[in-house]
Amino acid sequence: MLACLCTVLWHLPAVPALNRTGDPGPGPSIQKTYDLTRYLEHQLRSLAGTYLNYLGPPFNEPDFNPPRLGAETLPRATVNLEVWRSLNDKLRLTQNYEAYSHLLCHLRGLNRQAAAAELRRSLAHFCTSLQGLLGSIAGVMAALGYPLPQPLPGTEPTWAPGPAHSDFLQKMDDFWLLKELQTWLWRSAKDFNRLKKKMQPPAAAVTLHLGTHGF
Amino acid sequence: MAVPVPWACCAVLAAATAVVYAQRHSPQEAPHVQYERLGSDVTLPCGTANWDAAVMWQVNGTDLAPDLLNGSQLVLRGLELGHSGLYACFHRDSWHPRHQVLLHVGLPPREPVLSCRSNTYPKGFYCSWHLPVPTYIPNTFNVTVMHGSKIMVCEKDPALKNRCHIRYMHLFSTIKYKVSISVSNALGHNATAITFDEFTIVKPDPPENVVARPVPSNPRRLEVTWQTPSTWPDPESFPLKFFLRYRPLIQDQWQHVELSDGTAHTITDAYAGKEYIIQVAAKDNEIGTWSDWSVAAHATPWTEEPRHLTTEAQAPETTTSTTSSLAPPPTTKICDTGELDSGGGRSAPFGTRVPVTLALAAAAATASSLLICGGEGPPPSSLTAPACLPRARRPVRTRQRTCRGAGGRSRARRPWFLFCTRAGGPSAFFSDTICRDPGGPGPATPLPTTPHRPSRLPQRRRATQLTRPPKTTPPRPCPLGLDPPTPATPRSPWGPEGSPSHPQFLLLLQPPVCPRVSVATIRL
Repeated sequence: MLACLCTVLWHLPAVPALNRTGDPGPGPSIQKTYDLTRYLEHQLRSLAGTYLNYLGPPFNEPDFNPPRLGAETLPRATVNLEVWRSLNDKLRLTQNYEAYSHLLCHLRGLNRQAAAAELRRSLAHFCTSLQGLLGSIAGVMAALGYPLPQPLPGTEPTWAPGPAHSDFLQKMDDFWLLKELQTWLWRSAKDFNRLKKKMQPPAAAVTLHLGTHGF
Repeated sequence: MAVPVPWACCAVLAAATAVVYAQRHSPQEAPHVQYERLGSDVTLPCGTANWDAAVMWQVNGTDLAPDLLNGSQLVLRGLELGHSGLYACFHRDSWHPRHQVLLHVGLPPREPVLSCRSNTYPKGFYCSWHLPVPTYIPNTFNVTVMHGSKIMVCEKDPALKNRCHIRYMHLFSTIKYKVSISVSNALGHNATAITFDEFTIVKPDPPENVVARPVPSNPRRLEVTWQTPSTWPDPESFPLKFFLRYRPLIQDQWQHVELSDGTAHTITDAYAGKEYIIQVAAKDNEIGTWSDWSVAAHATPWTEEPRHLTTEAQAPETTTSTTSSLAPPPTTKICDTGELDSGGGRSAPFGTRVPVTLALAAAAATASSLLICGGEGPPPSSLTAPACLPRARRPVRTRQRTCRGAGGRSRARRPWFLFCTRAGGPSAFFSDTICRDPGGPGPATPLPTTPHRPSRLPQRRRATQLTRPPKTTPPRPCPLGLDPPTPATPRSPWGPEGSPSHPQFLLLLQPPVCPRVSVATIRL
């Protein structure tokens, strides 16, 4: 796997604790985070297209539907419908934060010497934007008073390079990374939509209607 | 010795005969069902009969000609759908039925067309299928849904037999879904499959209950409201955004507005007095595709009530509908009030003299009145009073191609529908743009029908132009002043007088300066 020194990520610059008195609440920052996910998703679309073309066939074929083998360390966005709906705010935000931390780490490890300079620049730009998203999520968590997730001992994503992957398997990992990234961005948009609706006081009456839809 | 043998022989013979008889005249078994391909040839044997047996064939009770037979077998060439039926062969002499075949002519199935869609995201999705070409014989379909290596259950739709529903167990999956369908019938077999991501098949149903209303005291606004489709289960967590399009009925160009939330919108740039058609579509904020367009809503912006003049001898019932679409009231005076005809009813044929304002007021009572104003853009907000309003016994339709005014301005190809009166009035008022019917060829052609929903009007250059009438009259300059039409030969463009089925036209004349004229069409 990729050698990844990601400890630096876990020591993000501490978000200054917001003075709760007089702050407008987490609403604006949730909206900002939502907007960032949309921006990133848009950016990823063009980046993924270019990168998959660089990987070459069959990765850039629209019907490519491989079984999910390997890439176990990637955080998976997929979740049971009921479980997802019943996530509390803290868990929802934590899952998002941890997922993007991992994904950013993997993304940084995409070190393709053969990749064109343009592609490397796009990747770097995307990493920076993703870093911004992480910061935004951290801001929301701090505003709501939730602690930032700390890396558990032993699960730190630092590892020595594993057994030499074949070039094809390496490309498969890249493929799944991009796929997972895209799916996470879609999921985050829905996550932050849900949070946004919860935070809106006048919409409180509306959120109660959720129960009547028979979920 | 000799005695028992003949008895035994007789018994055996009798038994044999009985068996043979039974075989030949067995009670009719169920017909044999046979499927054959359209266009092919088929030979139907008469059960177990010998080739040279004497048989007659019938189809559905009708005798078949013997020239179709090959011995005792029926030969059908170039099977058509009409060949399907119950074929029976009979012993020619005794008419004992021997064999029956129920023949079905059909085709093997072509590759089915399969599509899946999620209009209830995140609850689930459905897949529906059909055959591009009918087979004319029964088919069986078998649908399987795979999510990676997991098989998912597709529940049959209770109402539609070519649709089944799948529930999402997991959301936000990176693994594609694969839906395969196989179809088979007696003549063949076919199959197809599609794979897709969870997000790509999301397409909501169109918004419901689209209602458009005029806004009081605002002649250029329309308020549109709608509801999220009832099949969308969770608009809170999965909000929809909307796309609204609107146009006046008489135009082909749509205006578009994209709305990121909310189920209401106010159009602020509607043309005054024009009927609009409005539609809305919906889409999940982040994923999937736009829904189909909703059922269209129609509305006309608010217009001011026409003011009734005190000089009118009789005013018809005042309008009660606020959706009347008249232009602002003409502040025209009517000359020769003594000639005022009181027949200002709603169905008054135009053969009678109806003052313009009366006709307007009458039309106002009709909620469905439609106003089209000639000239560029919306009609002017007010008509200043001309010196004198012409008034006619009969409407006159002119088909001048060009009218040259004193100022040299020409107005090409506009049909002018006038009330004209004896030119006792100031000819200067009429200016030079008013052209009279040259009295030329025949009755005028019927006018184009006003736009009916939802038919589309012929192509127009501008919203306010009417369809050009056929060019039967040569162009000629418009004479200054107006010669009154001879009363004996009234020109009614609609054939029989006052045929109410055609849209009625009014010409509202503007001030004496050439030639801004509004043409009002009022559907009575």
